[in-house]
Amino acid sequence: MIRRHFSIFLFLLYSLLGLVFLSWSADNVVRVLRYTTQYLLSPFVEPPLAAMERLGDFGSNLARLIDLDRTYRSLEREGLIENFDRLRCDAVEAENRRLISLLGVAPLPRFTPLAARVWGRETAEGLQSLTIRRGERDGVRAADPVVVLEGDRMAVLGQVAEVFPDTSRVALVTDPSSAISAAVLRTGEQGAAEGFGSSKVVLNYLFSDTQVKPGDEVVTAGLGNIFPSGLLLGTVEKLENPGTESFRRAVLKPAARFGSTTEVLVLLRVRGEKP
Amino acid sequence: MKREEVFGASLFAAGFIFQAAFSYLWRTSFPSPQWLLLAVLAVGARGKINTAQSLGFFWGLILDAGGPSLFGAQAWILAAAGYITGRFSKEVDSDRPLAQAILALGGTLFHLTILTQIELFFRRSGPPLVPSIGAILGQFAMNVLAAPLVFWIVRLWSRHDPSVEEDHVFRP
Repeated sequence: MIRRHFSIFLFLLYSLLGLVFLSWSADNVVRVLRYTTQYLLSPFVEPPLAAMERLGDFGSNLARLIDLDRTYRSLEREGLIENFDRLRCDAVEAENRRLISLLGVAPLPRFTPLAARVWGRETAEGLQSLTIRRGERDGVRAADPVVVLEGDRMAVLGQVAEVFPDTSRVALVTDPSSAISAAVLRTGEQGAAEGFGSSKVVLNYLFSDTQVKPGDEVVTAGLGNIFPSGLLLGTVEKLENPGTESFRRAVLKPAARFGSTTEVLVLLRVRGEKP
Repeated sequence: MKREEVFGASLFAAGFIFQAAFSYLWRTSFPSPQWLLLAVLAVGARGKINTAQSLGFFWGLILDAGGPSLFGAQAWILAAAGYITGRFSKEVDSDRPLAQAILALGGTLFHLTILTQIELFFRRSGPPLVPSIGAILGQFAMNVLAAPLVFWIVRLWSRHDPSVEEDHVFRP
């Protein structure tokens, strides 16, 4: 019977022992036993404890290693960001070249297009310019033409006014200092497209009997070796008499949209070419 | 010495050493898994009812001697946990993760409830040691998470002793 119900008897035995221990305060005996055991085991316990101590440091060392790795990656990322804009511009430049070839825009033999990202704008009344993230190190020179793609045509945005090592300031065609030789596409009449501020350009020095009318397209004439000919400048809005009887002038709406431009093309002159 | 006794003695020693090492390394106030309770449940669920309650009793005595609980409290609780699990081992497939989780939850609930009752009833000096709600929840979570590992180790360990006691093993 005992063999058959051994587990029950064993459980009753343990329950009885547990009850005895709980009822009889054995704390003092336990304390003496614990200290005696620790004293006897101490010579054998030290080496494993030292090993466990090292094992315990493994976690903190691992955490430190992970932290160092994270810091390293962060620094590496910052270094990458430094070059990120340049890499993106290179990508944009490549994409622009591809798009230009896809759109069938005629190549410009004396110029090499260089894509640049717009960094800042100055659009006060007396100063209308952009800052681009391309400079002397990229081959940009003062007076280089700057254009944008409007639809499938290149539109004149302005001209490089100042060059710094990594950036350049571009004076827009609306800047009062800007003057470009231009021609009316329909009639062939030529004049000087000058900045007028407030997003306007005027085509000066048209003869008093000019055939130009609103809606005519005005392009660069290519005189002076600065701008290639045929780049779109704008559309005639109205004709005015500036006060002299000999000449009239046309007010143009620029083709390039300055406000929404984020990438531009700098037309680098081939080496040896001078403005 | 019988194979079954060797199995029990070796598991007792391994559990004791592991618990001592783990207690030494676990230096946070967050509850640690109750490895010995889980091992008792795992052994009991494999049908080794006598081994489970004996391991529970002696491991419990060690826990009582080294910890703040009343001497004999954990010894009885772990022995009872081993006995009860062994009694119901025929109905439990302890190889299934869900069964392991339920056993871990039930064992933890049993342990916390009885330990609190014993503290309230038998503690003569000082306030009774009653765990906070946060500690109880943490204890449940840790035990459930650790249960599959402990059950797996006990199953590997049991390969060396395929015998069962009183036909308590689960038969699907």
